[in-house]
Amino acid sequence: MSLTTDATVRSEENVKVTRSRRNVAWTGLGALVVVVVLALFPYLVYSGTTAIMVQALIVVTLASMWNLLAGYAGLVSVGQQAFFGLGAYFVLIPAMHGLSPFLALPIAAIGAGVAAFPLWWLVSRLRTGYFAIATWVMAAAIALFIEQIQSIGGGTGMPLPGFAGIDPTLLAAYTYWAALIVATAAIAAVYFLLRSRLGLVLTAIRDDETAARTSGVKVGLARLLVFVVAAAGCGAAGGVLAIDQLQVVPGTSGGVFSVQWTAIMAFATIIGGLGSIEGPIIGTAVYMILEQTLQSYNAWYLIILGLVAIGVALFARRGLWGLVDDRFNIRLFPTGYYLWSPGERRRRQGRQAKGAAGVAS
Amino acid sequence: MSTSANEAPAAQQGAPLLDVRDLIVHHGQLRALSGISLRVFPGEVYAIIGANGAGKSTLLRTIAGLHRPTEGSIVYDGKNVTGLRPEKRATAGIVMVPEGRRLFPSLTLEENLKVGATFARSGPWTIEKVIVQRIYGMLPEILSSGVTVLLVEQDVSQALRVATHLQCLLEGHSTLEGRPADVTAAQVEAAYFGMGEQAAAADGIPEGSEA
Amino acid sequence: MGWVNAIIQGILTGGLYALFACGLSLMFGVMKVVNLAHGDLATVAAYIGIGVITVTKVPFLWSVPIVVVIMAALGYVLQRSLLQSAITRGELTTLIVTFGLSIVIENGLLQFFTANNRGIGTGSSLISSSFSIGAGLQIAWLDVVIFGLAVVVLLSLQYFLSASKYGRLIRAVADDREAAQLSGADYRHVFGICAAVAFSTVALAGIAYGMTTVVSPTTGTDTILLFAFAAVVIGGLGSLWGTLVGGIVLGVSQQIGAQINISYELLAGYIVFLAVLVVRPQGLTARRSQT
Repeated sequence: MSLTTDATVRSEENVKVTRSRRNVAWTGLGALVVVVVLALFPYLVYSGTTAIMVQALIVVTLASMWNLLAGYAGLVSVGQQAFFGLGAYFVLIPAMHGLSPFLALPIAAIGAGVAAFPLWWLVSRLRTGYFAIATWVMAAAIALFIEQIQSIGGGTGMPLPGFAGIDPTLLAAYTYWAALIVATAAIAAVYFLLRSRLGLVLTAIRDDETAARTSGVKVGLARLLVFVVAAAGCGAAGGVLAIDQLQVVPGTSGGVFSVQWTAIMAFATIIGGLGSIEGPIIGTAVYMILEQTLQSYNAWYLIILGLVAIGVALFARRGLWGLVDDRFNIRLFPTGYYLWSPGERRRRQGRQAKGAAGVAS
Repeated sequence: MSTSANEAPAAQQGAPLLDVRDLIVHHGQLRALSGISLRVFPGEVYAIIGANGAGKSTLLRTIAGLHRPTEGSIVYDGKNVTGLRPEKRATAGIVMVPEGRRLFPSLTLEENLKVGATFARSGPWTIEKVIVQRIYGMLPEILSSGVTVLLVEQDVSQALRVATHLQCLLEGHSTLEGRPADVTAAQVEAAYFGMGEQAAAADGIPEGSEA
Repeated sequence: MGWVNAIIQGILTGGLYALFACGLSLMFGVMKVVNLAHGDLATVAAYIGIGVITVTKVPFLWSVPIVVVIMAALGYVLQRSLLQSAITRGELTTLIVTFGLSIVIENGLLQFFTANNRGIGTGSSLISSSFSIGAGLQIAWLDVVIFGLAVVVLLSLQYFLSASKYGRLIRAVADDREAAQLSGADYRHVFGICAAVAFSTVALAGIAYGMTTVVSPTTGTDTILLFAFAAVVIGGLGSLWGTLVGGIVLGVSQQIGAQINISYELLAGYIVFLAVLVVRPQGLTARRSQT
C-alpha cells in the first residue's frame, strides 16, 4: 500500500504553515466588534430582550463546554448539570454570607472546577457508554445530597440574597453583562485551549489513542484538564443562572440539577456542529428560536430539539456549521493548520490539513 | 477461500467461476489495491502471494464482502456480486476462511460448527466430515469434491506446490501472474520483493492523494 | 425485627432491579450499545399497559403478553432502523441517539399524559395482599411474585442464549461480528432479535414497576435507568445472574439506609454503587482496544 502525500517538502524555506487561511486579525477584530455591540445592548434594547439574551448566553456557555468535552475530548457526559447546579450553589452560599453574587461568580467557576477532580477520579476509568451513565448518576447523587442540607434550602430551594435595594433595570443590565463576560470568557478559553498544545494533544488522542500514548502523550491528564475546564465553565454558567433567577432551586425535574440542562447543551451543540467552536454558537441560536417560538413551559421544544438532534447526529454529523464549512471552507475560529505549497498565494488555495475538524467516532 | 461449482447451472466450460476486474480498494485515504484482476476457473487452486502489506487480506476481504471496493467488479458464477452483503455471498457460495481461524471464543466447538451449519447449503460436507487437520492435507479432498479454492499465502514454496495458477501482489499492484510451471524462481523473487522493471512500473510516481 | 424485614424486602426488591438490568446488560453485551433510553422504554411499557387495560378492559393478566409483544416488535423495529444507523456511525453517535430518544420519550409522555403519577391496577386482591411469616414479618405477595418473575426471566434468558439457534447466533455475533457474517448470518437481523428480547424484559420490568408503585414520565431516568445501571455495575458486567446479585445488594443497602433514616434510602444505594465503582469496576474499565 502506498501512502501518497501532497505536501512533499522539497526545501524547508518554501513550504509555509499557518494557523488560518486569511489573516486572522480580521476575525479577531470582528469578534471584538461583536462583543462590544453586545455589551451595548442594555443601552439599546428593552430589558425583556436582555433577559432572553442572558438565557442565550448561559446556553452558549454550556454548549461550548459540552462541545469541548464531547467533540474534542471524546467524553460524552450526561451529568454536566452537576457542575451547573454546584456553580449556582457556590454563588448562593457566599451571597448568604454577605458577598456580592457577582463577585462570587469566579468562586462558582473555581469551586466547580475543584469538585471535578474527585468526580473524575470516580468515573475516568469507565468506557464511553458507562462513563455517560455514571456522570448521570453522579449528578443525581449530588443533587440528592444537596437536597438534604436544609441550611441552603433543602429540597425547596432558596432565594438569592445580596440584591436588596438595587434598581431592577440596573440589576438586569448587571446580570446581562455578567452573562456576557462569562460566555465570552468561555468561548475564548476554548479557542485558546484548542490552539495550544492541548488542542494538538486532543486531536491526536481522538485520531488514535494508542498511537498518542506511545508518542508520550499523557492521555489521562489531557482529558482531566478538559473535564475540569468544562466543569468550571458549567459552574460559572450556573452562577449566572442563580443571579438571573434570583433563587436557586435544586431538583432533578426543572431545577438546576435537572438533566434537561444537559439535554439542552448537548442538542444545541450537536445541531450547531460538534467538534467546531462555531457550532455551539449556531446551535444556541437554533435552540433559542425553538424555545421562544414554542414557549418554554411546553414540552414540545424539547421533543423537537431531541428529534432534530437525532437526525443531525445520523445524517449531518458535523451539524449546521459542518454544512457551512464543507461548502465554503470557512473557519471563524481556526484551530488547525494550513499547508501552503511554495508560491501559493494566501488568498486562494491552501489545503487544510484536517486538524481539529470533524467528529471523533 | 472456496467457491462451489456444484450446483451452478449457468457455469459453462471455460467461463470463470470467479471473475474479478480492476479492483480498486481504499482504506480511508490509503489505496490498498490498485486495479487487481483475476479469474478463477472451476476446480482451480489459485494462490495469491506477496509480502506483508501487499494487499492480500484486503483482496480476500473485498471478495468476501467485508469491504466495499471503490471501483471494479466481482462476478461470481455469472452474477455481479460487487454490492452483495457478505452473508449473502456466503450462502451463494463464496466462503472465506479468515486468517487466524476466527472461531467464536465463547462458543463450544460443537456450537461453532452448529453456527456454520445454520446457513449451510446441501453438499458432501456435513459436520461429521469436518475434522481438524492441517489445511494442506485436506486440500486434495476438498478439491476432489468439486470445490474451487482461492488461496492467500506468504510462504511461496507452499503455494507453488499446490496452486494451479498464481498472482503476486506488491503494494496493491499485481507484479506477476501465471502458472507455477511457467514462472522461474527468479521471476517470483523479483515480483515478490519488487525488484526490476516490474517493480518500477508498480511503484512509480505517487498519484493524487485523496479524492 | 424491622431489620430482618428490611433485608428480606431488599432481597425481593433485588428481583425487580434485576428485571430492570438484564435488558441493559444484554444490549451492551451483544451490540455494545449503552441504551440511555432504557429506563424510559420501561416507563413506556408501563404506560402502554395502562392504556391497554383502560381501552380494552381486558383483565390485567392479559395485558402483560400484549405489552410484551408490542415492546418486542418495537425493539426489533427500533434496532433495525434507528439504532443500527447509529451503531455503524460509532459510539458517540449511539450515545447521542439514545440520549435523544430518552429526552423525546420523556417529554412526549409529559406532553400527552401530564406529569401525574399513574399506577397499574392489578384488580386482584391476592396480589395486593401480604402474608406473614411469624415474628411480625410482613411480606407482600406482589414482591414475591416479581422476584419469582425475575428468576424465571433470567432462567429463560440463559436457556435461550445457550440452547436455541438464535441464542447461539447472538453469542456468535457478539463474539465476532465479521466471522458470523462469513458464516452466513445477517448480523443486523440478529441484533434485531436481540433487541426484541431485551425490550421484552424491559416491558416486564416496566409493568412490574408500575404494579409496585406509581409511574410518571420521569420515572425512567429518575429511578429505573439508574437502578438498572447500578445493578449491572455491582453485579459485574457481562453476567446475567450478576444483575440479580447486583440488584439484591442494591435493594438491601437501600432498605438498610431507609431503616436508619427514611430519607436516606436512595442515598444509601448511590453510596454502595459509588463504592463498588471505586473498588471493583470490573468489566466497566476501558480495555486497550476499541469496542
